[in-house]
Amino acid sequence: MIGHLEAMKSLLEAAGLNVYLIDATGATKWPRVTITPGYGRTGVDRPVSDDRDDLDEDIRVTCASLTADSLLRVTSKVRAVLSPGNGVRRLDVPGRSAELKFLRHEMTSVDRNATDVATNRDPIYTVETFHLVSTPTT
Amino acid sequence: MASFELDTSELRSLAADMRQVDSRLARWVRPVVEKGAVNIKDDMRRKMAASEHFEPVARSIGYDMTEGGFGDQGEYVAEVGPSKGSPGSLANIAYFGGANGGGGSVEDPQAAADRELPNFRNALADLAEDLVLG
Repeated sequence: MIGHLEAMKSLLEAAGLNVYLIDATGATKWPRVTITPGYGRTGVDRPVSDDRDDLDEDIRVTCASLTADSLLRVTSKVRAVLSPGNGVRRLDVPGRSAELKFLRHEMTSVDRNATDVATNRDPIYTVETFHLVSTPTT
Repeated sequence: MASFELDTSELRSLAADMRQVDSRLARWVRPVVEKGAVNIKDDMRRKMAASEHFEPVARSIGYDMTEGGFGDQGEYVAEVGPSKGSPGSLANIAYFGGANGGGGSVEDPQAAADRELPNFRNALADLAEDLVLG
């Protein structure tokens, strides 16, 4: 799984975004993007490595910013990069044929437990889910 | 009620199709939809109650039934999820994490809806069969 998350991170960083895997606690730059594996799909075992034959997983992408305008721009940019036109984006993962596609918007909210120290503002964030399907190429 | 909706697209399609069926069938559909909502609610409560940190949120999970469609008849919608306010407002964190990621330690509510979908389909099929065959 980690190879897929890193491929997503690379795509977003190439688009000029600040990207973190799993947890961005302690980060000071805004806006920022955090990529997290979803809880898992019903009836599908959680993968423990990329050696597993097939992956059929949800990936959560959290965009956070201190202003609504910025948040909307970043969320839109993330979706455009990871699922252009809400369609399929192929991921560059060695030994795998991997595709990512926007699935749904989960929520938009204010996080009052992650106040930015420098500005004393509470970040706004969106969570969107992307569907990952990946199979070995060999 | 909850800020997110649990209907799958297939469930919504089924609900929409109900507008086309005989009114005889439609009036019996509501209990089927409500039974599905109860099952999803119970499933979501079990998952939330199993969380060490978010267990108190479980009791905030409920459902609302609404009727719509032409003349407010023929379309039955169940909305299942945590109520706003304490402790339900923590559900967002439980399901989806916060601004820095994390959280997301409780199963996505979509999974409960997915698990119920076959039962819902079968119940509707049984209902249709009962009405057609007597």
